[in-house]
Amino acid sequence: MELHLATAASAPIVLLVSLVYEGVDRKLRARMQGRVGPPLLQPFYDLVKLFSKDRIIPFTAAYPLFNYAPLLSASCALAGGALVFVVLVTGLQLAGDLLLVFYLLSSSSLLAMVGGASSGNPYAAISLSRGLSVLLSYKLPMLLSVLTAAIKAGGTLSLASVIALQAEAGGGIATLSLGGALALLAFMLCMPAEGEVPPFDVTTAKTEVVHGFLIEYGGPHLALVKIAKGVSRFSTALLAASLFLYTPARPPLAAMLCLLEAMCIAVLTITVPGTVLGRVKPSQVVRFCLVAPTSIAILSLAISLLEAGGLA
Amino acid sequence: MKIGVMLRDALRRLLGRPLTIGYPLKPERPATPRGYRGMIAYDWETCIGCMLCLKVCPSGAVSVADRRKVTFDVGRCIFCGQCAEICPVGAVRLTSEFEMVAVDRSAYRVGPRW
Ligand code: SF4
Ligand code: SF4
Repeated sequence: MELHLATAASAPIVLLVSLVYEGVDRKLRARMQGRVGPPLLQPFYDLVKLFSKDRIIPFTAAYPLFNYAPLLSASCALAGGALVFVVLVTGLQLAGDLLLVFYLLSSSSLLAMVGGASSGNPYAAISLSRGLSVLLSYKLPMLLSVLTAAIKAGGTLSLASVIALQAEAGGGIATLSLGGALALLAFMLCMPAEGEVPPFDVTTAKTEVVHGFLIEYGGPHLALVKIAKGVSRFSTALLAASLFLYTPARPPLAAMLCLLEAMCIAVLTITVPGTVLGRVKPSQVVRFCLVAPTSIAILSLAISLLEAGGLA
Repeated sequence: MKIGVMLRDALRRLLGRPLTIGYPLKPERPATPRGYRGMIAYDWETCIGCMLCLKVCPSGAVSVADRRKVTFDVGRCIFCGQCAEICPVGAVRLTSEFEMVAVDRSAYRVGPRW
């Protein structure tokens, strides 16, 4: 019961921080392109505007799916992000929460795509097929690198034990061991795909599939999908920060530090590539994710298994 | 490496001054280039009602108003400047005003004010 309350209470915080990150992202991106850029609070204004607009549902849409998928998607993302935050702040032991967070964040992307594709628009359908293959290819190495952290923490799948281990060892897994550093690298290589930014933005590519699954969404629907996307981006970065780069400190301070680190990770892996890189083909995304991050993640897994002295 | 070049350029831009300026344009307005064709200004008292502007306007933005004067519909105007060029008495001018957003259509009708 307390967990539910804590998660519900921290969802707005996670939303707020994600939106702030989005503002930072847009500002930095603009400055790197030589523009003044929108004000830092632009994402908030955007949401207010979108929520005040009418809902438009195409004739061809499968109504329930099209209408409710954005809400579900946003809730999944918020729940995932809030769960990470709650564990960070309270150090709550929850068996298998790593998998739960993973599941929630994946469901969020999946629901948004499926909802968009149920609009009946052919571009959205193409986007769904692209999105599914990209999702499958980058979630694998991500999961493997999360497993590395879990193995480091003695084979548990609870985020709190991974954090406790780092607090005990006096530093982040990535800074203390080679396996951890490699796992973080693999995780970060997958981040542009998670954030749907170049070079891996094949799902929502404007010039190819006209915003993909977002094509028929507008108004409150679009606002919810944007929230889902922003929150799951930031929550993934937060997960990386708390799994690999946790800095031991008193709980509220440590959580703040983790938020800051997550911000830096997101800027490095989403803002910068999104600005300086061009888009690759869908098949290249899949090939890249299944080769580079996956092999790095497998290597890190093997190294940490060796360090841990067998499959304990 | 191309990525290196892009990164270097992005970093340089990030640290330098942006090339654009913020909007709304405070405090300074950027200077418009010479010969810029913006909002139409119509001096209806000078106008002699020859209707040449109405003849040459390619987009049909000019219409006849009362007492042999004309009205310009800026909403249709393509700012080609033909009317200003042909007017024998210089009653039409394209100013350097480029901020033409309005919430009311009547702001786009430039005509005689009796
Ligand atoms: S500028 Fe060109 S389009 Fe506009 S009113 Fe004059 S002639 Fe017509
Ligand atoms: S061309 Fe000049 S004088 Fe003739 S009607 Fe137009 S504005 Fe008036």
